[in-house]
Amino acid sequence: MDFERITELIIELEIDDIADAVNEALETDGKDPYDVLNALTKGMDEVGRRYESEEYYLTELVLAGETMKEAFKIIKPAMAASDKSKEKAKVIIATVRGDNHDIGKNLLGTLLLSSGFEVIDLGMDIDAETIVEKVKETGATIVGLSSLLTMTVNQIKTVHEALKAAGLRDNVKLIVGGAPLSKELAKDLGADDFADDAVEGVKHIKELAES
Amino acid sequence: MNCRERVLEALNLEEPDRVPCHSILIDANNVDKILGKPPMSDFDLLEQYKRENPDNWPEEINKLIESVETSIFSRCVEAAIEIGLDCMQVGIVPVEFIDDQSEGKNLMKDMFGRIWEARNNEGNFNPYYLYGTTNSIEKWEIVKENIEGTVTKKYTNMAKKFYRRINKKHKDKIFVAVTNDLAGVFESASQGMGITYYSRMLHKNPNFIKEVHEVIARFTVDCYMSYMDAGAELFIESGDLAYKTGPMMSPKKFTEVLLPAYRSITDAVHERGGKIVLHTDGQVTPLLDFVVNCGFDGLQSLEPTAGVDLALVKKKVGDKICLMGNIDVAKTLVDGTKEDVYNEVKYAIKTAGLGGGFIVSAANMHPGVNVPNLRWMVEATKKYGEYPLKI
Repeated sequence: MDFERITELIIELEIDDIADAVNEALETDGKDPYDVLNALTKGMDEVGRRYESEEYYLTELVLAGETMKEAFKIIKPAMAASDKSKEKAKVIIATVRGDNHDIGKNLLGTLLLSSGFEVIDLGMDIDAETIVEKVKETGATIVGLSSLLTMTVNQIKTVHEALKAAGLRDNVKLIVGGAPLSKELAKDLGADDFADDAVEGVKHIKELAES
Repeated sequence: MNCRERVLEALNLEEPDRVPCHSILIDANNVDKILGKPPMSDFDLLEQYKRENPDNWPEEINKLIESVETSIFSRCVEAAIEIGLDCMQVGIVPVEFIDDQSEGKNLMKDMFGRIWEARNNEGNFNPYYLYGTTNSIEKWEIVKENIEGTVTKKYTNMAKKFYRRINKKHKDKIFVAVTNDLAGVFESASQGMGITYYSRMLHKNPNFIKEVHEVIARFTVDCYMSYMDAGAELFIESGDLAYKTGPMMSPKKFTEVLLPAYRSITDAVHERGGKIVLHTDGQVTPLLDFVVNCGFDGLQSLEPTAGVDLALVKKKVGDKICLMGNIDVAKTLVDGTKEDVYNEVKYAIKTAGLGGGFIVSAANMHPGVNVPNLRWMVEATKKYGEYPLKI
């Protein structure tokens, strides 16, 4: 199984074939899991490019994310066992308290995984206390929050203040996204950054991780 | 002109006496603020039923759904009249309580396989979508059989009685439109399956998705025809085809898998002399031709937060469909000042009102919208909206 084929399966959203292809690359061909990951990432980069150029839309992005998840099920144990396994930047993602939307958050999680981050996905309807505890427990340096409801955007401020009260705010970058948010509103609520969608979010998180 | 004539004139792309003012359903907490709280809240009733019928409370309370919904929507129309709107929309929401209180939530299910939480909005039911369960062809076949069987009859009967009661009471004071909010064709399909399964099938088997849309559209037509039997003339199809930065799928795919379903609905409504508008949030600009080609008479929302440029939309399709909306619900109608609201309404009328074919309307609605801001929206429409426009 050549790497180009794996990249192509991601680009063409071939969810039913990706697991076999990754398995073949690892088991039969003895490929390095990190080289397979690079091939997958290349595919996701092209999916992101197609999304930005409006060749792909949200439904394609969702399916690409699911295809990546299938690949990760196979590749993750191999990566953990590899001697190349290294410490990755940790990102906590969650939809804020009172909000059960998760399409954007899930996409962000998958895109971050394929970009080499360790993702701790807390799920939906998550309160500030849980986020603070998870930051303490994992040492994550970036927190990504999603809020799709006007009614729940103030939860971002609650998380910001809870991190501050716990003495963690200076160690953590807070990035947010969601329909009612804007760059200005995000700043007012205490966030460090804002992204319009998951594709943009990954770019911003890469910058935050390097800053 | 009365409210009905004013709204219909705008939908005919003409200039009425003034720009009409509409809102999608005002949330019950705000209805309570406008009319005063009823003696017993929805949640009081729910708790009473649970106490009195510990073994079969869902069954018992579901028998009351029609009267509860009629009361909720009727109060909403009364509130709309009180603040001076020309048009309000009502519609049966096909949900029922289920005996599953996972994590202490009051869960409901609808006929499309969606699970909802009945959230407590200051004592009122506020259905909130959690997830879809129709995530296989086999499960869809069961849903389909149900829709094509007894369920349609149940809801068409309910729709007729529901609309007749509300319209009879309020028709002289406001134009009562019908919506299938929470039960629109696209959202029922994509949320019923869950966006993951929907996206997968859209890619693998678009004909399946097309069929799902068409089955739900046939149910919609049956319901709309029942509403028309009871006197309804205007429908607002709930769509949500777009999100903040663009459409959920390409305009080409929407045309392939959704246009035939929408066309069957718009044709049926037009055949009986009615009008139909599509509601969709989000950045809808790439879908304007699609909306026109589906046969809709109007487009509601035109969400400023999603970057919809009203001037551009007017230029592109203002001579083909009536535009409704563009008043922001993220800030302006939540915590904007009177001046903010007046300025936004003035801008919208100036931009889209010339020549007619425009209805001032909140881009969406949620419990955080402020009642005085809604009143200012109506006042500003009356101040700036008289034809011939002087702004």
